[in-house]
Amino acid sequence: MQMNLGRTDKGFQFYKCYTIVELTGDQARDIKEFVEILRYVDSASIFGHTHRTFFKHHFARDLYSNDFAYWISEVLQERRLGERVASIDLTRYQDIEQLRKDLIEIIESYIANQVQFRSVPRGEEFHFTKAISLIQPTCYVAHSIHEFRDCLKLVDISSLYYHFFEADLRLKRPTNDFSFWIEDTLNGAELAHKIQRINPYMSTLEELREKIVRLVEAYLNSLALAQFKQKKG
Amino acid sequence: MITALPSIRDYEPIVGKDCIDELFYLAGRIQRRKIQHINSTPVGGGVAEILARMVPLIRELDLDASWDVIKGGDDFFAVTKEFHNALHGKTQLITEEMYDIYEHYTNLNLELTPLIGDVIFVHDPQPAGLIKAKLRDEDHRYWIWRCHIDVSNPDRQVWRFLKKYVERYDSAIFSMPSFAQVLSIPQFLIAPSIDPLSKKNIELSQEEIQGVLERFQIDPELPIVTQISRFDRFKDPIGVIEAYKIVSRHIDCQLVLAGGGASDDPEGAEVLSEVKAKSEGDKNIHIIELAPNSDFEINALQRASTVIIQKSLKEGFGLTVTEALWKGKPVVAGAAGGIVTQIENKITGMLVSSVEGAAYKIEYLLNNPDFAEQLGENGRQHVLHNFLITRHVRDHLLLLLYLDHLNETVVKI
Repeated sequence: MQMNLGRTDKGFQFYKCYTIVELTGDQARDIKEFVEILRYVDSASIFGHTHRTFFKHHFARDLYSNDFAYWISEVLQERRLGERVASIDLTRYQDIEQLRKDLIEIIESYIANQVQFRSVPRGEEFHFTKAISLIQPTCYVAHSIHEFRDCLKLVDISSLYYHFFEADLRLKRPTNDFSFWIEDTLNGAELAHKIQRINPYMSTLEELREKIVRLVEAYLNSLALAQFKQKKG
Repeated sequence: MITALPSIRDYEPIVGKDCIDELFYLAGRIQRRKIQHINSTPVGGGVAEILARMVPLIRELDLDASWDVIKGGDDFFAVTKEFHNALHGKTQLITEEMYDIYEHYTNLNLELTPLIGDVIFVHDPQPAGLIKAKLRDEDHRYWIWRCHIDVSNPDRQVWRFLKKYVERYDSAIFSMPSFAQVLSIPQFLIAPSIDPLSKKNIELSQEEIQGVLERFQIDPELPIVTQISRFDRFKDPIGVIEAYKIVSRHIDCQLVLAGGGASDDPEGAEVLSEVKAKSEGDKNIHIIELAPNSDFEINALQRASTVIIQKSLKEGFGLTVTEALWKGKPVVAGAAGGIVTQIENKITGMLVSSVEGAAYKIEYLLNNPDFAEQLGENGRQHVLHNFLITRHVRDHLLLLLYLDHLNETVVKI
């Protein structure tokens, strides 16, 4: 079935997302304490520490995709473990609990092969926090793929964060919100899959925006070209 | 207390119209509309400075915000000063009599302070005891203890005393994750902020900057390395001079050490005289004793600088670093306290842990102006998005919205 290029009643409502940070009071000085806290800390804490880096700098990509990897590598100086934690492919997860399980497994297997463990001086502990998202509907509602592209160019980057990361992982939806709407409402499975294939952890939010806009435009161009050829032929 | 302040819309050219519109939107969603702040001083100190800006801004958002100050005699403030030092981790002798004085004034203020807010923010330890009213009045007001000080390593005895009050609040706010304690109430993180339209941070003309340089006999043609801070050992001014001396072996430059705190602090005076002795004979070192309310001069000195240094060994949040970053200056700073939240090494500034490291980074920046400029621009962007007063107001509004959804992690507003 061909993708619907016209208007649809079921519009895409863009939400804006704010984050507030709750402090848990839990802190780790070494990797054993760290993993013990990781077992019980709220899932919102794991989500926050693996995603908050996207809001830290709007202009630069962080070398570490998550707070855990940064602390383990740069502060605790357990670089081998830090590298493993940094390289976890977060796109594979649709459930924070699975991510928690895998993180614990990686750290436990590291601990099992170590004799000595470093600990950090006072002031350099890892402080666990929880990320709380407050979401607000924006004035941007797209009723067609063209409007979707136009809105995407204008929305706050926190909208991308919410529809891509929150939807996927925290709210346990099978795909990001954009792909879901494009496939479900516009019958655009091909474009939806292309967007879903983007690894958002490799970009800043601005770059992510550009990538999606480019995909939509390329897709629309290819459709227009196909229609043109069809008419001509 | 409040004079000719900029209006909330004056911030639009800096943070954008959307940002201000969103503050109005968020404020409009808040149910508990009477917000009261209580602290211990109407002027002087960071808390009064923040409230003097924040309360009028929140009022402009059509919320009913008020600010009250508790009363206390010299004996009360002497005691709370000792508490303050003890909570900062300094060993203090705290006697039973001191606790009695604190309780006496708490009870007095319970009678004198009108508790009118639907949400009451109580700032720092001095007025923390007002929470007694919560039980007395059996009310539905929401009480928040806002802690601005570093309680990461407190004197246990004083913290135990304070904790019995703190845990009666509905929630607490700290400025840094490391300041958090194990508490039975929810704790939130809200970083402090600077006001881009204040005298200390507002844009200045070249003539204004030039005037200040002339007044302090600083050569505008020679690179200027500046540290603005109290003459305090934790700010390591001697280390800064040593770093400058290493740099000046290869590059002609000037060092400006400007700050206050020497006139009313015996230790400050001692540090200042050591600094003067250490810099004797070098005409390119400018030691400037700033009078209170030298915001304009600080602004001009920061804007005239080629590199700004903040070689702190111990630091609270380090708002002087925030100010420097906001001015787009490359900053070299000690990896202490809140500085590490603001400076990501080699991205928004340079972190150092030694005199030699500081010297190397200063020299590197003086030799690589393009990199220094990029660092400065990144730093300014970082402050724009994270450490301006508009973000601070927004965080307060978000917290007020969240109060009715505690324990939820995704909330629709």
